[in-house]
Amino acid sequence: MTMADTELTLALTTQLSEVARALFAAGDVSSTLQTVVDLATVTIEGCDYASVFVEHPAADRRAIASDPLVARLDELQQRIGQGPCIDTLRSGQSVYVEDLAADPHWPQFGPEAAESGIRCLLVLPLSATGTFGVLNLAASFPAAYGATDRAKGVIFATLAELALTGAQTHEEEDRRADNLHQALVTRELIGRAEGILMERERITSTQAFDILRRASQHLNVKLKEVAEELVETGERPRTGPNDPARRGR
Amino acid sequence: MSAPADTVLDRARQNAGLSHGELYLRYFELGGMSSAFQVEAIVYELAEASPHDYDVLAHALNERFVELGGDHPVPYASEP
Repeated sequence: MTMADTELTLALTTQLSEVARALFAAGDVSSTLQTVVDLATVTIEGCDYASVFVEHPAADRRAIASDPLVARLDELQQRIGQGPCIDTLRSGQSVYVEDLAADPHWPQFGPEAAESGIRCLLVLPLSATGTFGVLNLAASFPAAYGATDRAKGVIFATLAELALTGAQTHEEEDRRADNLHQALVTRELIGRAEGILMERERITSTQAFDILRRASQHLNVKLKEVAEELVETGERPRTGPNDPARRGR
Repeated sequence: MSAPADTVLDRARQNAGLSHGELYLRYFELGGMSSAFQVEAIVYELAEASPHDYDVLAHALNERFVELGGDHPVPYASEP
């Protein structure tokens, strides 16, 4: 390895380490996607525009582009149902198009993309946990990426994939914590409403729950709302016929 | 391993589009005292629930059906 090679390797390693750090520090999925497109254009030489999108079975499709030009390119592919991005989505394989104006694979997309100012495209698959996405690295000039740039693109996409998986896990944990917190608040509210009924009507907690449950069914509102109303107003909820607490006394 | 038993509560859970975890959270929210493991056993009729516990679960499912535009299809133990 020559001195120049060593310096190049060191520069590459440092750059990719910084990319990894920035991607993992981004936070939620949207911020991570934004960081992916921001960093792609400065990390991959020759890359003028970048866009990324991920599909999640339980959530909306999320897409971010560094420039409206490349967002329009994605829309065009979806509209006409052809293009390298569509191919990557179907096959899970990366696609490199040296010159969109000259490539016969996409007879409608190729010329239209070239006309809009995009000549060269490197499309890389992103398979974060439970999702599938695509990273588009677009360039204004044909044959914009050499072998090193394409290899760098693959490493970049792998880092983006890992960061997105982390961001998704993080979001999922936040969602679970929020749900649990909400459940605890509601549980406490229902407990208070039951306590009021127990004390006032000298009944058991089971009977108090039954009153709230019957009122919820009778009024066709959630039990939580019945409990809220009772705690706020002190008024006994209407339960319709066959109130067990009243019947049993 | 054999498939889980086809039970009233589990059929309702599936029709309501709830995972075991989601059903447990709703049950817990309504004041249910059993553990997630016990609730799953009740759903599969591998453990017997008290009438009260059964009603909390039934109501958790019925509230979900109301959200989906339905009625209260799961019968309550206290309303034979």
